[in-house]
Amino acid sequence: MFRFMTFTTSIARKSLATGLVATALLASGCATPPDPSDEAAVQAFNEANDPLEPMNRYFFEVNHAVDELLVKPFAGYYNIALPDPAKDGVRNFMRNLRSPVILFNDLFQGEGSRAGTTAARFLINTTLGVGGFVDAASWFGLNYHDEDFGQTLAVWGSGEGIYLHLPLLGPSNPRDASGKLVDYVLDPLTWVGYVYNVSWINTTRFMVEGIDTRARNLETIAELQRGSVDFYATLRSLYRQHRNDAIKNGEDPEAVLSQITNDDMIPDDGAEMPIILPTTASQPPVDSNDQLSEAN
Amino acid sequence: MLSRRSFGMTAAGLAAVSFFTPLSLLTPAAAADAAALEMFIKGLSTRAITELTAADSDRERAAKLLPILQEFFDMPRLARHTLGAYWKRATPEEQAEYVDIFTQYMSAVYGRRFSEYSGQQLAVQRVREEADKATIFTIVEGAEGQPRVDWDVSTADGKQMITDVRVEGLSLAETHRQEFASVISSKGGKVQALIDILKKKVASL
Repeated sequence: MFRFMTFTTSIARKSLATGLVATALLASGCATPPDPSDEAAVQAFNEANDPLEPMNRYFFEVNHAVDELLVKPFAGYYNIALPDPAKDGVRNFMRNLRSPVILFNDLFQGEGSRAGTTAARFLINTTLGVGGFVDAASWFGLNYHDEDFGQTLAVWGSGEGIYLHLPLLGPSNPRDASGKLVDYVLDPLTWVGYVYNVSWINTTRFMVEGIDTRARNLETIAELQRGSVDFYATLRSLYRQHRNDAIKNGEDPEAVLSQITNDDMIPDDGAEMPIILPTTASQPPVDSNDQLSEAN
Repeated sequence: MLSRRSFGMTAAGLAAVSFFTPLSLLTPAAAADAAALEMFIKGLSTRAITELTAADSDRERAAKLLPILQEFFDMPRLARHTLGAYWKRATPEEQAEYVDIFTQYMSAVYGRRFSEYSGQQLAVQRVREEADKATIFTIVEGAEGQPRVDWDVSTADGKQMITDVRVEGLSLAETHRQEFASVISSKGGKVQALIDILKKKVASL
């Protein structure tokens, strides 16, 4: 989202500096594993799967500062300057540009009908949709969907790996970060940029995408931030859930994490909850299920 | 629009089927349950919208949401879930205090979101039932992108209670559980520390 920043040299220098700090942090900044005898702490530590947490938190703070100083104000102006139909036009155009990458990934995942939708959308929107500014395809029930190589890797069986909070890019993991790289290479526009020496089109594109996305989420993110007691951890959780949902294309709600943990962690005592522990404590060891609760 | 229409047709279809088919061929209990669950969610949404949009301040919205949460959501269970493995470590007093502050926190955080309300409506897509558990799949009509909202409902003694809500696959229970686990582990595993932080947060919202 924040990739456009690298364009300006001053920021590039700054990110080089943060990179150096990061290396220093990485050397000293691995999370300390909890006392192995503390079961709950070990469970929380393993589930977070965030061994680089101190470094990640550092980049989270840096990104937050960049967001407050630059991205958020920009997104605010963008919101005021453009009426909703114009913003939709911008997003339609950006989505249309992404079609080749989405198509590749639809195909990689063996999603024939989704690939067909993407191809048809591209043809209709580029022509009838005036170069992509109008989502004409949706009038025919051909609705937009996203795909990326991170999701393709997941479909191919790759795990996500440890959590990463990348400078300027935000929440990620090794799978999704390398996926982004592959998408960049897969994108015809990347090559147009190189071959015709107009790489500014890609930079502009990242910038506009970032601002548009941020502008659409100003209120949501503000509320999330205001209500959260650990925004870093909230983002970490939301990112993972969002990616899992995207990988499943929003389907298969039965496999959603919460239902699994619901069943494992909480005995079926309905509305009644044994708040009074002393009476239950005298009984034989309760739910052995609980030890499996975080196995996923 | 399509979804509302297809929902309408489904409802009409169901009505027609139940009218023309001998009762013995149906599973009337299941059909009745699905209808009841749908009514339950509609009831929640109508009540929350009517009461919270009438409020003037965030504080008032929080105060009005609290009894609604207690009526429709299994708050003790949700609270317990969000504490994860730390639940068993808490003393009974801490557990009771946590359930209380967690309910207040939910009311404060989610109540204020109704200040942005501008006519969005829940449309039930389908209901999935398994024994005493069910999931009601809805979409929010009028909101950008018509987000999916899934409601997990558990039925005990004929009373329905929501145990989790997922918006576009993002689970309320899971998100808060992971957020709180991070807070507790950064505070040396003390549940009381989370309770204090939540109290401060509620006071600041």
